[in-house]
Amino acid sequence: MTVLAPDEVDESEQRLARKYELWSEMPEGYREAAARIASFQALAEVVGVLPFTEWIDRAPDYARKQMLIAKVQDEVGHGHVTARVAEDLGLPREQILTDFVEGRTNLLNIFHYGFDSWEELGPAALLMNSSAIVQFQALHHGTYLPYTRALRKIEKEESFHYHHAMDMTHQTMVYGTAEQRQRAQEAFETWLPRLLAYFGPPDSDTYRSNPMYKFGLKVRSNDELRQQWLTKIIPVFKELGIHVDPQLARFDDERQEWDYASPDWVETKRIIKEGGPRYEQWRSHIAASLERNATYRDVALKAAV
Amino acid sequence: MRRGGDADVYEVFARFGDDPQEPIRWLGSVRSGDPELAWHAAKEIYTRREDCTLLWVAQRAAMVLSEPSDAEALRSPSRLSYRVPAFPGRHRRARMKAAALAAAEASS
Ligand SMILES: [Fe+2]
Ligand SMILES: [Fe+2]
Repeated sequence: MTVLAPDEVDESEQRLARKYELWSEMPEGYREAAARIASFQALAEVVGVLPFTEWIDRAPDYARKQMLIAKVQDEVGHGHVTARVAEDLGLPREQILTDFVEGRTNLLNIFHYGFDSWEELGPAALLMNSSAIVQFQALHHGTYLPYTRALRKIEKEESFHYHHAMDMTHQTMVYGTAEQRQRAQEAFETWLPRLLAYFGPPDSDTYRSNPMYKFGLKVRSNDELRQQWLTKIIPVFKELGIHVDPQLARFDDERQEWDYASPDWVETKRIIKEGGPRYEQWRSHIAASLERNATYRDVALKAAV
Repeated sequence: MRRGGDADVYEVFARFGDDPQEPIRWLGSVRSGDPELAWHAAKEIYTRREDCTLLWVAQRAAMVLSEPSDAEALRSPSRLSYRVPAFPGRHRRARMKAAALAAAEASS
């Protein structure tokens, strides 16, 4: 398998060459598919940031607190821009949030958890940010231009989140106690399989006939992205002093690809469907803010003429 | 052409950096019930990294926007070929060629 870097995408490939604006004529089903992608990301940005907000008032120093607040504000901004993309396609943000609160939209597996210790934040965030960056670099070449423009803004900020997460992990690994380093090690081992699952099931023989792929809204296959991500992130963790057990992930020189411990797909599916450890907490948090802000939305948005 | 629609959508335009020659760019949109709040939302959402030196918002409903059917009317060089720099030269050469042809015919 030849692995191209995520930003080396052959855009002359027919399914990626035809681009669309909001006002373009779109093939049957395209508009709904683009709205689904944008709304899915809007929700992930807003829910995905909640585990971090919990730690703002527990950050151990002032600069760390500032960086954490900046990250949280960035993520909410990402929610706004991707929600705008969905809204223009006919899916209002109120509906995106209500569908989630009322259980009609599922969250991807990684958004069902929280952090149990400060030392867990760095490695977990580093795994999450690097996978987001790999995904966005590919999606950047997608066919819906308002979404790719939104990603251009988002990518600049994600690079800050990545470096912030790396710095947090570095601090623990270099200045932490043995116990703290152990927690970072455990965080890596806990979150790696979750992120491997986050990229989705192994490619089926028919992934090229998936409408999202045919429309060029999905640019790369799950396995391509997963391999690119491992190539990028495993050396970073090794460099930080995290031990990467070859059972978890190891590069096969002969086949030129990564072997990794297969995630527990049954458990992953169960969590997505039934909810993971923090699902109910995040759901009720969003429900409460929707309700709290209802007056503002009704009065202010209806005043718009 | 068409009117923008949605009264609670504001399009966001900005310039980054100190070069005043740099064109103002369209960045995307925000949703707001009020123009000033729309400006603040745009500031918080779109100017988080680069140095922004100019920020405008415009209510989408107040804008007039081109549509695909306007493309032909907007394409100057192909529709109005007599405006392009090479046209006067071609015009002159055609005239000289015609004159030379007429002179040759007259002398034969
Ligand atoms: Fe984000
Ligand atoms: Fe992020």
